[in-house]
Amino acid sequence: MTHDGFSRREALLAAGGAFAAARTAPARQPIQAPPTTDGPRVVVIGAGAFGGWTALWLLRGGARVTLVDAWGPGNSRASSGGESRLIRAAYGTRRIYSEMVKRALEIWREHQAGWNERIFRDIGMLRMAGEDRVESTRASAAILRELGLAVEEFTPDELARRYPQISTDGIVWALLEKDAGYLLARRGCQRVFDTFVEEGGEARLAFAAPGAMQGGRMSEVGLSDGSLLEADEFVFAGGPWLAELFPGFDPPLVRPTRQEVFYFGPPAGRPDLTDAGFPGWIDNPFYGIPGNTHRGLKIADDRRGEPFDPTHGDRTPSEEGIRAAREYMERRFPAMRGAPLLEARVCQYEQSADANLIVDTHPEADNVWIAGGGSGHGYKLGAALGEMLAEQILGQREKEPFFSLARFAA
Amino acid sequence: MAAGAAVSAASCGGSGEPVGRGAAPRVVVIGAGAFGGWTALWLRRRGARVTVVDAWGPGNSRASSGGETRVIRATYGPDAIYTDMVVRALALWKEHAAAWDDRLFTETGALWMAGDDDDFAKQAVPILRDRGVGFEELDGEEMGRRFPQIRPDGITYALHEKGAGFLAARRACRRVLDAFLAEGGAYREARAEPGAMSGGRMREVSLSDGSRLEADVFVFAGGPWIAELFPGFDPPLVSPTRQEILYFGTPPGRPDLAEAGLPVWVETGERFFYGVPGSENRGFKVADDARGAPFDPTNGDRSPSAAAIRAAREYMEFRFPAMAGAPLLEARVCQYEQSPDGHLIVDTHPEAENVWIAGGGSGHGYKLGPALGEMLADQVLDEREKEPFFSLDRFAA
Repeated sequence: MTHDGFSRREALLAAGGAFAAARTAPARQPIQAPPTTDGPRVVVIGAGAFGGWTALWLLRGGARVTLVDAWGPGNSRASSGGESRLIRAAYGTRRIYSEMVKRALEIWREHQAGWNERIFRDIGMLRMAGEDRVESTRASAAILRELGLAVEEFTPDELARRYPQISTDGIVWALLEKDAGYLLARRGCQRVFDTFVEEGGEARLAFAAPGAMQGGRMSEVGLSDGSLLEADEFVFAGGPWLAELFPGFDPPLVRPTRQEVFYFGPPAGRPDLTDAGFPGWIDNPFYGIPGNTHRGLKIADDRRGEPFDPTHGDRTPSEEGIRAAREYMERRFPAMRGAPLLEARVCQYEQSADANLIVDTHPEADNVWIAGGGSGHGYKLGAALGEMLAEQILGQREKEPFFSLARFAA
Repeated sequence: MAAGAAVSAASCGGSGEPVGRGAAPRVVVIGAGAFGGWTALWLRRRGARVTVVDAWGPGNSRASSGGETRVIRATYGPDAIYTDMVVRALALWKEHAAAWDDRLFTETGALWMAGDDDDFAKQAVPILRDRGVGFEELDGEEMGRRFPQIRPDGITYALHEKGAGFLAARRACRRVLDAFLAEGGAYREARAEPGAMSGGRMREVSLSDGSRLEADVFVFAGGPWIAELFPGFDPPLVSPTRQEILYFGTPPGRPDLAEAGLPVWVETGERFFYGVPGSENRGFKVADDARGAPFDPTNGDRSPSAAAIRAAREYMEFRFPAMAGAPLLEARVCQYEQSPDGHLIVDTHPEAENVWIAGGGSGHGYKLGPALGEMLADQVLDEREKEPFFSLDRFAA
């Protein structure tokens, strides 16, 4: 750390409480009461969808919150990085997620009105079901109706009439979820972070390592700049790094897997291949998002890839990944034949042992909260998860057994 | 002056009605990038009835105004015309970013590094001084002390331009179009083909959806596609070249390698690399400014090349030792649309006085957008003379 670099950063922190990019943020009035000075001190590690929203809700609940991230909100190594994420409430029989998504949508809508930025794009989400997915898709539809979310069902013929840009081969049934679409992922993290800072939160750009747990409690974390942060409660929303932060679990809390995302270029003047004329879709094992703020037609393979190191892993796209995505795309979207690859990302899923979230206290310290295990479907839930977790930490709500660590104890 | 008034009109929602409808010229602008978007916005604010057409949307991934970040700096060697435009453009970027509540400009400063063999930055000194642009000059040793994250080997002169920084390129294109729409402009997403030019005029353009657009004036801000749109020029208006942009990952908790502690930087001379630290948490951007192979902006494959990654890494690890072994996080393949002399083209077509060509960004155009658009809107509406420095005449041998 250079003297100059350090002093400049300190000055920025002192000035705005925000690091780096937040310093030119226009000043705005807090939309909630400023935090009390006697609320609990909470340190949140990780400024992604889980950590950022949890920090913001904690702040609004009266806590004094410090948010720590090694590379900043929505950075390119983070599981909340990347450009876009589907948001859909269809979750098979796992109703808890459908409810969380419904709440998350409300929260995104409320907030983006104040941000003057459409983080949520309400283009709908089309689930194209083959024989093997009909049952779970029907279960989703029933839950969505119970929750008052609008859906529309299609036979293959109806689907072909409604969306002539797709080839319906292998699809036996389709469900359009209308209150769905996609979120601008890294922009969402940045907006949540900026809001957190504007409402009085403190932010630090540093890598955080858990302190010792003694007597059922943790008293501090150590930061990469050599400082220590003491607090009453700690939230580790470390995404793919959770397993490194807490290596003592068997099975490991999460296993990061290498995933690839591709943006292909539609022909000119084809709104039916952008978010102006097509919804996001799931077509197991592939999924996609059109448009993406004019980046192209996004195609990704949801199957879990090889183990991946989120810190040092090389993120050059692979030829096999490009080929597989192209093969799928050209089969499902004939007009995309020969479309050039425009952009690519290599990201990771942080897969929990059963692909469900982990939201619980550490078995050795009841003031240490672990929030993670997004498993490739967590981002969209962040807004609702943060609200839930903040209430749990502040003692206003019971822990949710479905997300407990106890479920992994055999 | 006019800008402030127009921005506040937009923030009040605008009337949506063209000013002085009867006399207002109809203008079609082809291209919603930094040149076309800003030109359309200024034309609209001057009262024209404006339609913007773009094949894939503002700041799309094929466009020369796509990509995430662009350096904005007033240091331009001996070319004072650009320094003046940057001074104006930077003021407009800041004003609009504030009005739109979006951090489109991040002030980091810009550090020019040169060896004995290059005096590009040094030539700008009297111009910067005369225009009141804040800067300081450092020798290699001082630079090394000030920025210990940079290895000073081979650097004998550095110019630190304090108010420079970077722009959020693609997002700003979208913001400009949104403002244009809010202020009453129209937008079509389609590919446009020039209509016939006869009797010194063009009457219409045809769109890929089969429709035609008639107008009094046409502005072709087609970036790398300008040469395809108007193939009759010799030399060609622009030659698109393949360029690669690489984002490498810094070690954790190193603000001295992000925008909080490092300016955008440019190294000129034998090699010409530049970079944008941080880039909104994407990583440490490194790019080679040397013109690459010819590139097809429509169909060209944009997978990064192993050779470019290797070259960027080699340079980065030499100049920024703390980045040794840094992983590649993201990459982009874009293009420069290089004019024959690397300078902009802003002129009417020799065969049609109501056809304007705005292009030739040549890898340095983006930042100029707001000032170029303002200038060109005035020219289109006959309120300002054409600028000889950007004329097509200069290519006539």
